[in-house]
Amino acid sequence: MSAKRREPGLPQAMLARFEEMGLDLDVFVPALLRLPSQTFRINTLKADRESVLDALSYLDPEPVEWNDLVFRVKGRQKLGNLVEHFLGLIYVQDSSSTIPVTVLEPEPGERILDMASAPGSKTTQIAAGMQNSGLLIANEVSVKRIAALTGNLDRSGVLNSVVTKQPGQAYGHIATGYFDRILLDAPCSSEGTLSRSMRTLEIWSENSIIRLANIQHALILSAYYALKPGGVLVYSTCTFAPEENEGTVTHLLERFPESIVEPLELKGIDSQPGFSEWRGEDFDPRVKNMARIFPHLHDGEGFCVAKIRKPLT
Amino acid sequence: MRSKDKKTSHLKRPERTQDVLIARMLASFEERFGIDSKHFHAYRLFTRSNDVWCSSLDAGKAEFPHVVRRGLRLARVFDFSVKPTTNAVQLFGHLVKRNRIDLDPDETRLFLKGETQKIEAPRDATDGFVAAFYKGFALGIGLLKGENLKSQVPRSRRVIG
Ligand SMILES: C[S@@+](CC[C@H](N)C(=O)[O-])C[C@H]1O[C@@H](n2cnc3c(N)ncnc32)[C@H](O)[C@@H]1O
Repeated sequence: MSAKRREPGLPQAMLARFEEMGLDLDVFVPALLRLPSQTFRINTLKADRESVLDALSYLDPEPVEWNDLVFRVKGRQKLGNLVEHFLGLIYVQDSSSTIPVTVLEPEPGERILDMASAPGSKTTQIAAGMQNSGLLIANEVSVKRIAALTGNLDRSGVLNSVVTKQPGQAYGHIATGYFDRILLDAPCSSEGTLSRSMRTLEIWSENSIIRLANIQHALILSAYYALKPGGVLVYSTCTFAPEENEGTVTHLLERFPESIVEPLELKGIDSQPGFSEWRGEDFDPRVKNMARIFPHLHDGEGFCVAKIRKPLT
Repeated sequence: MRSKDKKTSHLKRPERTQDVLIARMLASFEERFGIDSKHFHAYRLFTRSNDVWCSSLDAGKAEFPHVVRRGLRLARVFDFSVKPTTNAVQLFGHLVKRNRIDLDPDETRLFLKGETQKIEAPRDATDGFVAAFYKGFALGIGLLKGENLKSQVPRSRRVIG
């Protein structure tokens, strides 16, 4: 299909970009607009995996391959109305959204920063990985979104969080070399979540991609400064725009050429490597270690993830 | 259980220091629910006005600008009673030894809606705050008065659907 043909709801400029990314619009666009199957994550802060599975056996959940706490359910359910949800035994989370923290591999007792955390899907996942110990800073700049974040921290039974409200850009100065791990799930143009909400289109434009990429540049540098030597930074977005993915990581690699982009092993996910160039501009070759998740290849929302390590010396 | 003397409950008493509030909460958890205070040694307990909060030790002492909150609110300490939060009971409910009430699916549905319901006697609980359970999982706090169980699930957490 040519980008010239009108796809109801999607701007021509967006379709043209998808085509430039080498995507077959006939296959990609319907998948992008179709809701992925529902998934939930077991919250081990409240109960162990087996007893939650026992309680939820009536849903006949199916495990995913990359994370043994994540399950798909058949059909469409009102998971948010279940007693098990009220109890905080499960967190309803898109399958792709569970990948960044799976890759972050949080450990008990560590110091971890979630730099852009609301509404807390990934914060609560990190807290579970830390077994409620150590220190988890859940930072968020938007006061409106903090209520949802604290609600989810409460329901999930998180004890090791400190919620802060400031631009993530500040952390590089106030906590230089402090954190073992940092998640930067960045504010982005959210192209990958169009199946859930077309509201993304209200703010989507080529200009907003550039504006967001500039914010991401500042955030990723701040995160890198705040990382301990040997520490791990996971950078993720729910968008396809190369400027916001490979472009942002290339920006970091230009400033800190010694940083390492680790290859990702995502069992059971048909992910694609990072792009090597966009619109005639080459990215740092190491960004091919990033994982791009496309909804026509993986039953989940669109995502892009990078795992970056700060060398010890 | 609750203070009837609402007029004086707002007055700050000199003994209402952080330590006193925490000690009262721990004593009440022990007395009412059989929760041994040693379970909280691994955490930091602190107060904000009349509420006792709980966090990991590291989260309790980390110094950062623009902190909104730390950890989770455990209980509100009134003059004559201590009311655990729904979130605290859900997290520490497995430690509750007495004043527990098991609810069936229909009773649970009403409890999640925040309603008051008649509970068949006899149950192993006395009047006052009780921990409600469903299939062994702690749902939250109810206020038991005779045969009536009043759900204390806060509005923001109710499940109406
Ligand atoms: C993609 S969302 C995060 C989703 C969240 N990590 C989750 O999994 O639930 C990005 C968040 O970044 C916040 N944000 C935007 N600009 C920011 C900044 N400069 N510093 C920190 N957070 C920011 C937005 O308000 C938004 O809540």
